[in-house]
Amino acid sequence: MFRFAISFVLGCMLLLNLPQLPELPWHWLLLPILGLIYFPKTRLTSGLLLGIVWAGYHAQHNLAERLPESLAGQDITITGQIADIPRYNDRSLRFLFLPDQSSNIDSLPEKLRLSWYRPFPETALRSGQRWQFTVRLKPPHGSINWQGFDYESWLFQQNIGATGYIRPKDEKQLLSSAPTYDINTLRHHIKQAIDNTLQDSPQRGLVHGLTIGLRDHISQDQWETLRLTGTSHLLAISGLHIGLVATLGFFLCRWLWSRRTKNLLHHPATTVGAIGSIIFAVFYAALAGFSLPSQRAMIMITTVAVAILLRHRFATRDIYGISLFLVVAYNPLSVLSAGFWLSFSAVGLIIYTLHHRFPSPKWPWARIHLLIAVGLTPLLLLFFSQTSLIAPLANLIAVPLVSVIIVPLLLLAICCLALLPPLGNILLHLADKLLSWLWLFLDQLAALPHAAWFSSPPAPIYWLSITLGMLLLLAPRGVPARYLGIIGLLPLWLISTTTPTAGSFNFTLLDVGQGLAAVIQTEHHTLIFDTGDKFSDQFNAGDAMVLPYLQAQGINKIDLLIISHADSDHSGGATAIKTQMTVTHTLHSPSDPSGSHFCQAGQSWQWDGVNFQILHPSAKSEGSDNNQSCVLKISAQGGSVLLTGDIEQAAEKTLLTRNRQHLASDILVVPHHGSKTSSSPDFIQQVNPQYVLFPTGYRNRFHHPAKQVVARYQHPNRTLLNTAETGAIQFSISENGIIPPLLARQDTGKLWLEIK
Amino acid sequence: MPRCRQYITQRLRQAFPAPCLLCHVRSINSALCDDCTDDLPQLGLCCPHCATPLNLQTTCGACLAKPPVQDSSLSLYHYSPPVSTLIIALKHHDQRTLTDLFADEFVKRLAQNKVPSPDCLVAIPLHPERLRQRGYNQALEFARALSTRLDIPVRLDLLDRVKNTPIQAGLSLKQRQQNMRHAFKSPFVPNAMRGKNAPQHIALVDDVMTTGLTFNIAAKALRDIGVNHIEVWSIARTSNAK
Repeated sequence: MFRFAISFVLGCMLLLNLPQLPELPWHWLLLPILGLIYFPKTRLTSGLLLGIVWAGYHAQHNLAERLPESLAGQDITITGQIADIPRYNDRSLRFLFLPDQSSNIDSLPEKLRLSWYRPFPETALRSGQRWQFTVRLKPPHGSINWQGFDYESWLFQQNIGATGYIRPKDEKQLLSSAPTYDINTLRHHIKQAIDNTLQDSPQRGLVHGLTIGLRDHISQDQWETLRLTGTSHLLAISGLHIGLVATLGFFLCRWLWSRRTKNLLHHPATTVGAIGSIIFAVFYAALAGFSLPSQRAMIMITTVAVAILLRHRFATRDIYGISLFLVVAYNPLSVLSAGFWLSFSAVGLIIYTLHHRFPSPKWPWARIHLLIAVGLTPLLLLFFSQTSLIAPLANLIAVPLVSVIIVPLLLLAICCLALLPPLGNILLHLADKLLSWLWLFLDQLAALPHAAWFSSPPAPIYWLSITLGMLLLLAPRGVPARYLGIIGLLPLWLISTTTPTAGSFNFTLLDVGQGLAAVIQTEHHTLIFDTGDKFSDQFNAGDAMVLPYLQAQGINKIDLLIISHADSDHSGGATAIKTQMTVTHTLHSPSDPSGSHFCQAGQSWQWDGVNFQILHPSAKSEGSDNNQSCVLKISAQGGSVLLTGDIEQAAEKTLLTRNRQHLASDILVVPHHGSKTSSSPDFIQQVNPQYVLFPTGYRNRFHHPAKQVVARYQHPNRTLLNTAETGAIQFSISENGIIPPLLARQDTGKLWLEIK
Repeated sequence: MPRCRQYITQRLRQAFPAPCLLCHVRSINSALCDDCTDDLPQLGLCCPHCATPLNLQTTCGACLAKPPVQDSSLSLYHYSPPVSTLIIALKHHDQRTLTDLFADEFVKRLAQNKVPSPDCLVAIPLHPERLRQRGYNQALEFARALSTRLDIPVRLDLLDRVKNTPIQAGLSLKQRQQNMRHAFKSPFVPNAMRGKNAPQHIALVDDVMTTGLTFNIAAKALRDIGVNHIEVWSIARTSNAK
């Protein structure tokens, strides 16, 4: 079973890594199934084939479910049901919505992700309610920067066919209220109860995470601490917690059944205990919203319990194989998520390193954290380009505290809140206190100078070598020459990113949605020009897009950060970047009240043979904030780049009069995202770029870039690129000139990424 | 229901062979692989009355001097490693899959004997207190496994344990006798008028036979309600009682 499950997963991955989806009619499924029945010897091949066809079928279905272009941007009135607990942040609330397939609108997707911006409805939105709203939808789309969270992939995995928002002006109508008995209703009530008790506690988000699997109130700082200390797995309601609850259920039911001895003569207490553990595990997994790690744990526990019921003993690898197969068969696209790999690898490592070892390892609990931390390093580097060095120590304290004390305490508190509220409150406060102490400890650890190790993800061949080396090192004692695994690890020290040589530089325009963020890297220096937007308290472009990109490039220090002006879509990520990375200097626009050093026309410097020049604003400049944006020109022997912030025609005019000779550039990031108030024909003519870059968001509400502006730039010798269509754009400008840029969306080349 | 479960379990074992409890080799057997099963220390020649291992198949001196209450005894193995380990696993560590293995082997042994099969099986009961601690009665589980294979019912109403005896291991015969006195009682009241007669032929089932004292006392309680022929079945027999 184990090998069959692995080949099935490989099949799914194989298909999902194809750049284009092949035509796979459903009856192809028959081939591997018949193979499994009539030729059991070929089950590995059949597994592979089954994986390919099954994943293909799901991918095909999810792609067909996407919103058709004809409905995008239209106002549509729909009815349907809210399918999860709405998530609030400071600006909006978001929820999954299952629209009714109405007759007047055809081809509406099965699942939508809707936002409701302030003002919020008076009655709290609840899962299970049926509503009628007017919405404006767009097909699934996310920023693509090679690194960082891939929203578009996530939407594809979740089969969300469109995202959109509720039109504020139009009528919204509650058609029917939420059902009284429903797991999400229960989760909602628990959330309310926790909110009432722990109103202002900073740990409220963590308590939500540990009890009902809601993670939207966990702050960015808390996530950062969890990441640096390698403890984020604690917040995924995972095998540990579910296993604990199932054990509780086992002993509780066993004890209850044993109260009456007559029972035991008919059915052994363990049988009843096994049923109890299944019930408890399923219930807690449901409470956690059936997140992927909880699915995995639930299936593993159920398998063990069924084995007890049927008096069968499964080999551990079979239990692992069964849960792997079932989780992937349920949603083959989950092999795209980091959570899937981390969850299954961690359990796999525990089984690999502790099971059937002789003599039994001493200090298994201390060892386990070390082994997991070491063993997961290749995956962590691959997904997050960082790995925590203090994870074993942090987990040694945090895991027992959370799993053995805090989680049972919280669950007990929840039960008490229903039956005996005062006691529940006390327990909840107690758990809250414990969490705050744990947090003190974790924060201390995270603040250590070498808490985490950042590195760019290794090349596939290196990565394979590191993984195999790691597995050999962790192999059982009997395996000869285990130390040779060290050789496999050598590439860890060889990972290096190619930095430009003297006189050349890399210029990357990141895809931050509607906003601007660009990275300029010379031989020894790094400059960041603008930081993208701050979308909510929990989510900003600095954390989500700029920092992952920098870390993957092996950059750990920023020599200069320029915030062109104070608008949120340019400055929103600055705070996040400054708190997490060393920034030597910062320049602001003179109109920016938060600045202490300002950019001023005439400033210029040279880094590693590359010239930097501020062209605007001059000391006497006046006008709107936009018109006082910093304008930066970068030039080297091979080419030049002009970054213009949000200047409008007035500032363009100033530039044309004062700095006419400096404007000509090979690459232009258009002023003000291609708004019709900028890019005057004179300006375009003077800059005369070869590459025109539009930093815009997909279907943004300003309708940037304006059609007439795009038309103005059209020229046979010019290439026009829009981040909404290309993702991040990376140029290498060497002494030999500019080679055609790497476009993240095309370069990533996944079958679910729409490429125009 | 047990048959249905037996079928499902069978298929499950084919699909997911279980690792042998002793050597971890995977096989379609329930608990041990074929090789380990063959290696178990079979009880060879023994006294037919008390199953004490002997060099000859003959009645032993003790039984000649003082015949035991039961008519015959049957046991599978010597109570020595690895059987002793397996029995501890069965008793205390919930390895109830072992009952399937032992029942299969026991049925094979019975087939060699060619004696009439009993009317019903009675497991040596545990005191309710002990049963509550353990969650199940290993003797009863073994009897159930035999029952599905032999198609003989298990009777729960014939024998009760009325005294919570301390664990016998490590005690002298004298102390054991002291402890076991009046340990069992049958709640069954024969009533010829209502056609409620005690079964004529019974097999008493337990996991281990050490001195035979427990069986003796239980058998006595059954004799009191009019059982005619009593066999004693166990998985393993100790050989130190000489």
